[in-house]
Amino acid sequence: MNQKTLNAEQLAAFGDEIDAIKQQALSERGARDANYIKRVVAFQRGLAISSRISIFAALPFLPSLGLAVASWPVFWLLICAGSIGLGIAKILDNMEIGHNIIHGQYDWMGDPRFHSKFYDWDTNCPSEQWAHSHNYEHHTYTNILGKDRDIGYGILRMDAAQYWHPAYLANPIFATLLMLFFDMGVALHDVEMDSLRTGKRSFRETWPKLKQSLRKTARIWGKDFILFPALAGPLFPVVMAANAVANLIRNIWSFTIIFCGHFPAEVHTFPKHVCENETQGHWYYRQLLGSANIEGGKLFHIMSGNLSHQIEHHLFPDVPAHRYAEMALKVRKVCNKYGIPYNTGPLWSQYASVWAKIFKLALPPRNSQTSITA
Amino acid sequence: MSLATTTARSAWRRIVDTPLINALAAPHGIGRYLEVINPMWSLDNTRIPARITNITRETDDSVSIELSPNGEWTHFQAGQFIQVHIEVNGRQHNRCYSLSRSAFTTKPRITVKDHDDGFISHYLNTQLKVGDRIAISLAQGDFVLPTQIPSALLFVAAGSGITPVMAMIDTLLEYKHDSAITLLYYSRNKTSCIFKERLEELAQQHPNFSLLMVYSQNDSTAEHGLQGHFNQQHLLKALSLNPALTEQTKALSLPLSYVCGPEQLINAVQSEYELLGHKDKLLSERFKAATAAQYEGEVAGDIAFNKSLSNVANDGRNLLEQAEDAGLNPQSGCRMGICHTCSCLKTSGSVRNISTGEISHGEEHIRLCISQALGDVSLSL
Repeated sequence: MNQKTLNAEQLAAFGDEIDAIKQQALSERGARDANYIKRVVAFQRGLAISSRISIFAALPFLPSLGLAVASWPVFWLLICAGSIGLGIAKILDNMEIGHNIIHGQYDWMGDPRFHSKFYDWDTNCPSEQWAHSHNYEHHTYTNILGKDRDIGYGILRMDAAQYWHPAYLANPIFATLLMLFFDMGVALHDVEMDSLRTGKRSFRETWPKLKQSLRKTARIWGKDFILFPALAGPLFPVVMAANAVANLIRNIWSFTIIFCGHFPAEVHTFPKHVCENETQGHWYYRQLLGSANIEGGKLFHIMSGNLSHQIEHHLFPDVPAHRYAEMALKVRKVCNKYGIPYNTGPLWSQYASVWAKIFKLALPPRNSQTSITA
Repeated sequence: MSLATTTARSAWRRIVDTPLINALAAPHGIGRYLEVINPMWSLDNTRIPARITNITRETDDSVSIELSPNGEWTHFQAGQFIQVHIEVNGRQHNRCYSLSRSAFTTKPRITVKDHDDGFISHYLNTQLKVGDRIAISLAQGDFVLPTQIPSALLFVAAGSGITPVMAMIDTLLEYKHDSAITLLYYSRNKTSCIFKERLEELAQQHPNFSLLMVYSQNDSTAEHGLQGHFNQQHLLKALSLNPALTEQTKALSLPLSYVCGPEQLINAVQSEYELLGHKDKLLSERFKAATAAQYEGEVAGDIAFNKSLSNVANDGRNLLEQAEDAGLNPQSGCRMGICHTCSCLKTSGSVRNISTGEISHGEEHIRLCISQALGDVSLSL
């Protein structure tokens, strides 16, 4: 890493320039942002309804029913369109809508439908738990080992400074499971099951949040895996499978985008002491070094909830995310000026880098200066 | 006897808004899907969509707006108010307005005076068109008529304070109630007098309704020889107009009375009733949070916003304004302590309730818009 280290004065000047970009965006907020989020929500709701209809419309064409309209191609077309559409609707609800609203990006509208205090998303994690673990812990203490529990989600070894343990040999398997059940991983994130395992917290302390998460999970899974399938009567398993595929699509996609945001090689992690007496400029600097962007087109950015602009999201978590693309141009200019690295790359290379890390860190450190402790 | 029409929530709303259908639409609820198809199908009874069906200019600086809300709207009592939510440049602004027409009408109506400093009242007076859609709350407030209507009633109103009083008088007379009703009504001058014709017409039609208009501006011709602001002489004159009232006054008893208008009027009437020993007979409705009773102690301390990890030096204003100026976006509504939208958890510190003067300490929920910090205060914002 041959980046220049900035002195206090340069850091302060850098902080002021980043601040100016933020202030301009905040002062421009208005009808454009309100119309944008309303349009996305309207599209998402419409897509969710029509996808569910498509799944049910496929059923009469199933040849095993022996109806006159029986046709495999029509059945597969409708059921696939429904599953994929529902998957996309869930991605939009969780990422571009839910994640960004719960960040408070649209609180200024004064409309409870778009307010962080009131919005709930179509996933297993209760939104107020997310607001704590994500908005507060992860966004304040980004990539500080021991403070930001997003590093490895309490399951994976994602940083060389995490002590190695033989269980981490299964790092790639754990990562795959987390990817497939990412909704559950997120739902249990703030419950801190790992603290229960290590004895840091008692079951009594853990139970209230766990109960809340399980209740929300029951509502969401109950809808997708019991209620909607039950409407299909004997074809219960078909609807359940279609809904499961939709959830799987959402899980794999959101895992991919989120892991590409903080875990590609070159992204920095920090020791605990950095956040003591940290200045605004230094905080911005840490956010920049701890995040990575993914390049892509407009549709890709929307589908990623604009988390493809992870750097801008970490600098400006409460600015409406659809503005990140235009803000990124200005941020990059400022970074160039101060010689600060700006980590960006296409999805495939960032993702390959993440998986390489997952495999590499499954193994013990080569020069065994780090002791093996449980 | 009921002085209000009650309509049930429409049938299809009750069928659609059931636990099973909402469970299928979890976690948003079915209403959030319906309103995407047609905004008037919303099932939200905190923001009831309402079309503007008629706008009538009352005076140079006031309009009456007739609303046609969807089936979530059920009924109201004369004297109550609604919160009006209007979106301007992406932001929702909320204000409270009294309903100004008989409770027997299905279409509620508000009357709005264009105040110089009122962004929303100006918008409603100048920009709003028939056919526009706004959102309203259900009717709220306890400035209403009693279930047992007494034989005599006195109303005192000034300026736009006439609006809830107009609804009550309208309702009473439409119900053909024979109580003796007197209205003592203050306006700046004849041209700024809201509902002048309607009130005069009612006074002519109903012998049990007597009207006493007073103009505070010197150049306006005084009726009944009265002028200026409320005083004891005005009160006695109003009572003498009506035989039922005169008898009561002789027995040193005042009738059930309602006052609505600016703070000075309410304070003047209140102290007069206190003097006469009849404070319990007076109901009042303020259109603005009481601001006169400013805290006289030293302005000190810091306000800490726990969730956003920031704090500001207390400048003595209400906590809502200070939070907004600190760049936070707390939910807010009426800004006068009525709607509880800005209710927020205070984790520590002492605050003073601006409208009652009451001081409270420690962890509690407070309404930011009417709370003033006394020293260090921590808020869960």
